[in-house]
Amino acid sequence: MSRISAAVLVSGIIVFGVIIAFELAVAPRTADPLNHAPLTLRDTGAVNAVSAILFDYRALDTLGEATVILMTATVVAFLTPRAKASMLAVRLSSIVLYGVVLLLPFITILGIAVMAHGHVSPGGGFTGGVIVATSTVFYAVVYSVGGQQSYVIAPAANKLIENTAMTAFIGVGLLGLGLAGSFLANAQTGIPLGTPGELLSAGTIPMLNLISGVKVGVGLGIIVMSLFLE
Amino acid sequence: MNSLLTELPVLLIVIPLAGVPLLYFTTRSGRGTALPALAVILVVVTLLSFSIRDAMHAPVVTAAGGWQPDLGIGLQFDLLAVAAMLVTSLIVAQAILSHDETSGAQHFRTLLMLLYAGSNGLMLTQDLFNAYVFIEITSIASYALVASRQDKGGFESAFKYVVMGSFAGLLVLWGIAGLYLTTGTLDMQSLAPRFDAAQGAVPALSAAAIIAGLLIKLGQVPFHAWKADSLSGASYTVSALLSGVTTTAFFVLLLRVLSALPSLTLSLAPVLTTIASLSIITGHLMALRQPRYSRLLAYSSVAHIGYGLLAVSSGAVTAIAAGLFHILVHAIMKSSLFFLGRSFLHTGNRSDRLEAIVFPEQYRKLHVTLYVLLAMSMIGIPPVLGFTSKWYAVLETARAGYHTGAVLIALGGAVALVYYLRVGIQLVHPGLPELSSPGPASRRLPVPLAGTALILLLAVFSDRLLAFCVQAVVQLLEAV
Amino acid sequence: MIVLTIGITCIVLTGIGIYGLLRRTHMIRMVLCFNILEAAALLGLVLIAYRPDARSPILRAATDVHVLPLPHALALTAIVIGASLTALMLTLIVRVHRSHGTVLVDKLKDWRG
Repeated sequence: MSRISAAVLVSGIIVFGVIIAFELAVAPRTADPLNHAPLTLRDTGAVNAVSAILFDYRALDTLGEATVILMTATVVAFLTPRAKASMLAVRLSSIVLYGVVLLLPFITILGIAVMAHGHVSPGGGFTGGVIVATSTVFYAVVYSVGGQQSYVIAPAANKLIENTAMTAFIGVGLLGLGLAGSFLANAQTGIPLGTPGELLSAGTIPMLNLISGVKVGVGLGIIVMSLFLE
Repeated sequence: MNSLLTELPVLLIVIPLAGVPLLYFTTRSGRGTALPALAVILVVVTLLSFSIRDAMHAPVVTAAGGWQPDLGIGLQFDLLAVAAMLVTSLIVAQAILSHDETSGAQHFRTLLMLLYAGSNGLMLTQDLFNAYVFIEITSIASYALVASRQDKGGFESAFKYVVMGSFAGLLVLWGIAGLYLTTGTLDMQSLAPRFDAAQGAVPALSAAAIIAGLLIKLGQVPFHAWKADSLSGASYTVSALLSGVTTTAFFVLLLRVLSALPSLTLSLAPVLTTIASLSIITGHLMALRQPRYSRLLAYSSVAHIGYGLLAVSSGAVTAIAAGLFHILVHAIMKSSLFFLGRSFLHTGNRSDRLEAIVFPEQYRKLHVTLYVLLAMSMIGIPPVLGFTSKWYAVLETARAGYHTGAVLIALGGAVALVYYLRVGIQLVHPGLPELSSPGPASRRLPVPLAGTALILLLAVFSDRLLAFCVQAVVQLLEAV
Repeated sequence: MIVLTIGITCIVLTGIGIYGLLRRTHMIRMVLCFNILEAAALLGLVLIAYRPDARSPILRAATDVHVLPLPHALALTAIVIGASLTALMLTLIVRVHRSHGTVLVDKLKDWRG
């Protein structure tokens, strides 16, 4: 593509884009958009409305999302055969080596705390899972120096955890099916919703938060480790 | 029992998903058996066949998690879903039997279960964003399946497929966001009145973006080139899955989206007709000059999906039904042709260039017979099912007033005759001497036997099958 | 005003992304362009949720005006899917590089269309 045609294309896209942007900005928004916020407290007992949507109203989406992570982790691990990490043959200073060990428990605990408080404060399973995954990655990056591989959790155990978490997610769903007659039901099962704002409230939402947190943590760990060991 | 029936759509998605950990826990060694995966399919098909009667009566509508659609996610189990899921189940089962390589078998089956779950979800969901999630599950499983051949061509094709597919996925996401902005809902059932009431260009543009994304995923003109590239890089089994399962699922979703927005569909009809006609012409003409078996079949798929789209865009109930019928029949016969291609490998021949393909010594006559029947079906020669489905497509399209389209479909068959004959002559009279090193000899009967037998047997009941499709379309249009 | 600004940003990002995908030469850049496109879509979702003078949807006091929570939940799902797709693309690039020795698209022989 020549430079001129590229310039024409880009300016065309930008002009078109500005028109669309203007249209979007002045577009008459619908008067009654679907809004879960006023219903959340009564329906689910969760303070965090986004969490309530993710793990209760639209929990089926989240099951699909967890499946995507499981699938990607499996595929990436399958497609990248184990090789030695060659780019890391650097000697790291002892500050880094010991600093990571000191930081690791705190990072993990922070991750777990974010997961567990997903229904009462910003955060949740996915955010917490990413924080936990960083601890795995930190450890591996620092201690894989010189080609020797170190894991916090061995790859085989990772897969076991991932599949167990998947089973647990479906299990919670089946619990809803058994008790209330609909898959992934929460309040209808009769599980007490508790006082909104407390740690033990909102029925199955904290459970699903923890499960998906574990899944994301382990899954992202597998993905990053596979790409990194390549 | 009653509550189990209303939860059926969810179960149809969750059972294949549960197959993933099931496969993992039942095999401690690498290889494993095909039994758990086959059991999952058996359970799904049993559930399907027990609930056809209820679906005939009225569509089974489920509010996932007990939240009514709009607040939560709605799923609908209707005749359209029954018909499409029976076809995809058959193809998935054939794929499990067809994959006889020892390495990576477990990985393959896991991906297959995910593809199955994703495509089932795609065909059942009534919620736009839920559809996006299932689009991505189905697509990622497809990309991974293409890459699972683990060779040069496979990775390259897979990368191209991912780029094209994720662009289409983003278009769909844009469209969903725009529709939510202007209509305030994600539920297809309640979309139509709100869509008609919304002002400005944004709602129409957003819906068009969703439809465009789905058309890219279906490989229609002008985004048809990736299809041949990705299918030629994949193994035959995977190609069969992509052209059978993935395509059918996307087509069903396209039907649902189009029927959820009747006013838009009416105004888009000329555009859809043009795209479909161009796809038919391009697909057949490109297939003529392809040097390789899988690329030839891929371009023929572009044309056949064009037939379906053409019939659907005409808007008449019977025409839509004929289009749907043809797409389902096409899924069975095209996947069977790809499964048949797997037998080429048993001669030790790695190339699929047209002058090199040859069937193995064992069961050669059977293979050739299967090829002839399937090719007849693809071209549209009686007495096979492909003829009747095509006949209905021509007839109903003409009846709906699309005479040019009907002529195009009929002419397409003539062009197809040329290239299938070319392959057929090569297969009956192999030009090359037998290869010196015979490949892994297969004692098993060819897998597409099931699909071909079905095409032959069902031809007797084709009027009833069409009636079934008409009923499915009536249900689909009534639901809105 | 803020809506218009973010809206234009969003569209400009889309333009950059599409342009980059069309000028495809380098595989990693294609992945980056995909990520830019995705970021634009996420920005759009957040923009849809926006309400003047509203707070984040953590329901501390019932009287507050909150932004719409649904687009945020959708954005979260889309982020996870996008991240998975990126990981898959990068893995494929690594493998293509290993077998072809290049990540430039025009140097790949079979690349057509």
